[in-house]
Amino acid sequence: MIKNYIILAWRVLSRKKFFTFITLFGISFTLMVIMLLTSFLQTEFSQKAPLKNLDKLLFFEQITLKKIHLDTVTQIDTSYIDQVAQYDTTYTTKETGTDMSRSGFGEEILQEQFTKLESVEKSTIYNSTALFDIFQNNNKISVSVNYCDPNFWEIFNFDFIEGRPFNASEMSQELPVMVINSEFCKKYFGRTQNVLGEEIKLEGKQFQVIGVVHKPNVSMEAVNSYAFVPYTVFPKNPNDTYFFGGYQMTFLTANGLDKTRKEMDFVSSQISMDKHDYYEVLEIVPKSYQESYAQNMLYNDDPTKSLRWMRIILFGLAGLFVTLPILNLINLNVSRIMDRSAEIGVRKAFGATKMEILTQFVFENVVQTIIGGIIGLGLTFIAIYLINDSQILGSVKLSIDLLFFIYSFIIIGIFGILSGLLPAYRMSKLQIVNALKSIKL
Amino acid sequence: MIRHIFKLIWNKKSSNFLMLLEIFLSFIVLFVSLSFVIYNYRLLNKPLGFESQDRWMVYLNDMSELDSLSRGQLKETLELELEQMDRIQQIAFGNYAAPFSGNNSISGDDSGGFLIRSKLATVDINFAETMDLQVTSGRFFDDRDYANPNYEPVIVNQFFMDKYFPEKNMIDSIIVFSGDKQIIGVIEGYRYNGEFTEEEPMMLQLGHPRDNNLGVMYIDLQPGTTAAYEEAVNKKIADIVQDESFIILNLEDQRKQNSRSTWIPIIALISICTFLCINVALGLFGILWYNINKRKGEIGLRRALGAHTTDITKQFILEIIFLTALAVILGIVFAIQVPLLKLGPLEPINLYYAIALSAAIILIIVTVCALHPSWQASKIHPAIALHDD
Repeated sequence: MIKNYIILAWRVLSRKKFFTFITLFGISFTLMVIMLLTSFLQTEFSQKAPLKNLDKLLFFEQITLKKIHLDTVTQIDTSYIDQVAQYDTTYTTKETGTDMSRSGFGEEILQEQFTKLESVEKSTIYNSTALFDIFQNNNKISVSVNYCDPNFWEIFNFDFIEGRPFNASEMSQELPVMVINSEFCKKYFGRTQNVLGEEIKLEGKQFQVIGVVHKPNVSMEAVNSYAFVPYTVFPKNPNDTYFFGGYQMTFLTANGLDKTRKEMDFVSSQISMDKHDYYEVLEIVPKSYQESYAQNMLYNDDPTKSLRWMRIILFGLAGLFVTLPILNLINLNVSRIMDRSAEIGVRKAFGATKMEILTQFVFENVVQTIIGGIIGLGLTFIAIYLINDSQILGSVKLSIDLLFFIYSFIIIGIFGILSGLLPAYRMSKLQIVNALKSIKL
Repeated sequence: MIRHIFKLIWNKKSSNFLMLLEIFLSFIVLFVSLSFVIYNYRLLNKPLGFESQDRWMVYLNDMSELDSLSRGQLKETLELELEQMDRIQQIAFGNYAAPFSGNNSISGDDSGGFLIRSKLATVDINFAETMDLQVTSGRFFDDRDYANPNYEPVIVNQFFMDKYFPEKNMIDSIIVFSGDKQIIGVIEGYRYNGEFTEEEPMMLQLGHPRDNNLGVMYIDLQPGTTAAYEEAVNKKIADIVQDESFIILNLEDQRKQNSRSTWIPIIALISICTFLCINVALGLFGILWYNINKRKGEIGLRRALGAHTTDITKQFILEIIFLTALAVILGIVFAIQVPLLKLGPLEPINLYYAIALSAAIILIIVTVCALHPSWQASKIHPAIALHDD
């Protein structure tokens, strides 16, 4: 039976070349767009090195200090009662303005307040804002340096090509050791292996390379630094204050994000503002990975709102982009299927049920979609290669894995069934007499 | 004629409904995408207000441990020594509200009777020449301003003037904005956060290189410098400031990197929309071709009764344009709510452009798709058509 269907589907496809071309063009390009989107989302949001714990992470990126100016408005209403003036005075206090300063965290406030949270398994403090220029063989390499602590390596699980991360004792002894990533390694040494023990000069200091990690595919800035060094090695920036500096913090939560968020809110509400002579209110918003990502794309003071908007826009657009080709295909199929009314009439006259006709046409459509899907997959590979090669997405390297294939085939299947159902249903309802009347076998 | 066409469409309402829905959705998709593209295109066409080609920006390290005298001397040495290098044309200093840095300083004051809010940046007297700012009226800061203690001189941009003092000549006038300020010149634009940002009121204040907050050095170079030359400059600066923790940024690279995050969605949207248009066009072409083929009998009859070939073509084209117009009008009814109800963040003018352009694109596509099948229909010989039936 299925073999018959396949043969029939193939015949139909090769009969009208132009229509087959239109159909396959639509299917393959639509599926390519969906697959590229899937691949992008999977690269950015799946749990893999160095973000294996992605769902359990909370990020502190910026601290906001505020001073709210209050103004008292005195309103006096005068009314005359028995020719005597009566005064009715009301005072309203309203906000007339807010002074605000927002920046990265100071190291002290993080160390003092947030390293001993109960609902947190581990936490790391790092500063990834530094950039240095290295000149070598008439080439300039801009090196982004991440000053971090040893916990960084336990929260972000990097794949090491060789060597090891630095440890707590190296950190406390302020040893100039350095872990570099493969991209920097390639640029500086011209190879990505056998560089352990080599030295790199940075800011007048000789650093010893103790490890090389794979460059991550994701866009998160802190894990994409070229070099990682213990933060005790560099002298403290004299501009850093208790509250402000260039530091960020990442927490690996023990029992879910919400619990930690609550604890953080409590801790930050207890922080005394005596250490600042001007600002009075402190605001720290912990963000999940997705929220922080969304906030970078669409800025909103509240990261949950950013995330909601990003989802609405992303799924709204994706929905529209998929609905349109499906509608197009349905339209085309509805017109085309009329061609085959004679065939359906004969089958019905010989006792085929509605369901059998429906199955046949949906099946045919699925076969068509799978062919289109395979072409689409090929186009996706080409597109991914071009995108990665041109580095248009910066450090994001789109990748393809098993999960991607599974998603792709689910998408192809849904697409095929959806676009075939309505025309097939219409056809299966056809009266035998009407179908046979227009016979042109 | 119109009533006749409407009747024809109404008779086939179920299959026409799907076409209507498809054209309507295409309109909505085009409208959403084009709003974004047009908004950014209009921003791109406004003057940036400074030059980024062959310009470097150097973030100097903090010098707060030095007193202002030695700091001034150090920066003066830096300026003199660098300007003697063969490819360096001009040096200027500015504060950290630097181009593409993402740093902003905004202030507001309502003591002049109405609220003035403006972005602020502090620069020295060589800044205009180094960054090629366009002074449209008045003059830029010069040596005299360091000596003039009466009022603090400021330079504002044209947008500031248009917003707060439209059609007035405010050169040498005093405004109240965190104290008395004297406007001595007006510049164009200066959208220092990139070419895809909105125009905003901007005020430049005068600073002296010896001030600690003027920690960004701007270098104007002759075209065609190499990495080797950059290394030489880097060494020179390192020798003078006795420190290596500064970086040289190429302003042109910064500009490109800054606008990349806007270019990527624009290119993605345009290519997806192009593909969708081709897809819809091909589909429509196929459907029309099919439908017209199915109506051979009708065509044969009309021809036999003396209708000219152009009449047949006209009928089919009008039919499809009528259907499209219906769908587009429906789309416009929905789309127009966005600017009318002020939904979303975009300025209404962008949305009106987007509506007009989407409608035009769809009408053109549909007409082009209808031309060939209609022309083919008109060529059908009445005898053959009637025989078929």
